[in-house]
Amino acid sequence: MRQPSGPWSAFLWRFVPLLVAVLCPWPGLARGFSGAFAGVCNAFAGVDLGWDAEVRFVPHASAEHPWWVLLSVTNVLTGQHFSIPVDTRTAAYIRLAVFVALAVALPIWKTRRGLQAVGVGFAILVAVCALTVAMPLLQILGMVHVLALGVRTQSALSIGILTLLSYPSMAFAIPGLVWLLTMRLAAAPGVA
Amino acid sequence: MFGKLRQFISHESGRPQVRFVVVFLAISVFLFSVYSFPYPEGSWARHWSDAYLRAYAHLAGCVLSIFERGIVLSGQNIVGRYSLRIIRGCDAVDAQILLVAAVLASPLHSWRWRIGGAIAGALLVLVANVARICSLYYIGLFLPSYFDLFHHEVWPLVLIAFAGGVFVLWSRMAQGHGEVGRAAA
Repeated sequence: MRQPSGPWSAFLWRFVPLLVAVLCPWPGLARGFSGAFAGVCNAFAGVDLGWDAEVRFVPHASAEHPWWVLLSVTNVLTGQHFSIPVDTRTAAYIRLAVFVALAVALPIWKTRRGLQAVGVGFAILVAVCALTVAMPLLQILGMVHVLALGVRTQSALSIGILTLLSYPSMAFAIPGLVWLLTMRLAAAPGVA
Repeated sequence: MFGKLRQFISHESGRPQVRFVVVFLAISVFLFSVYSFPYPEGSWARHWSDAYLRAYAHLAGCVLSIFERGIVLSGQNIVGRYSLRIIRGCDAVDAQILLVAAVLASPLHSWRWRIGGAIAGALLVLVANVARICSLYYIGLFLPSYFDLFHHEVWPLVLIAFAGGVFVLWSRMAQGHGEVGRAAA
């Protein structure tokens, strides 16, 4: 029987325990991450875009859903209000954790080009996480009549939300694909 | 403009990896859009989508009934000692779409291998997903506190890793059959 190749075996021996470690529900992790997530999102929500809306991200204070952050939008002119829970574990934590585990298990960042590629990859991943949060926010802004969203835009948002947030495998597929792109960037001559 | 685009998408660009990424993303976006589109109630697409999920539930229920007596199938529901409802996303379509897009976007293999690989890969993911649904039934029955962990994290990771493994295996099989490079000829 063919033995698994050395580098792959070594990679898996590093990656799998790391992944298990970062995905373990360590005490305080959920509340800490959801609090930090809400803080960052509130900082961006505080930027004045000229919308007649108050956008707030509030950590969900329940033991049952410690990863949830309540996304709350109020139309300041009409008083219309809508809020939904955002599961920060699915929307951000798993993606970042998988990427970090991959980066530690396969340290391409030891070279200058590799480090730059990892930086670019991480930035792309953060942008995807931001998009994952921005899409339900835009949908709610449309629901409380702050933004006038056409049928096509609403359909595109529904597709994006289902694809990026609702399908569970995407939480692992997205960092995996971004990591493949990162490795390609690290290897490509003339890049980074 | 279209000439440049065609040259970029074709094999003449000399950048097969960039081409792969672009075509992979284009196919993925197209398939996710078709599948996840919010079709209105009563439309033929909604009927088809619901029928597909009912068929999925029946397939998983039939497999489950081999191991478990008293399984009742009702629409998208599998009812027994534990109950499951198959909704959009429970059908592993995300893993299937990514696998099919990767296989079809692969520039180094012939179309015969790509279409065969896409069909076989989607079927393999379907089989793995039926195993997932059956396992979730027993996890819900005997280890209910672990259901969410397996439903939202363990099995999604396994399915994506499985789809990735199928893609690598397919690429190696195609290389072994001398299919590499023929598509460009």
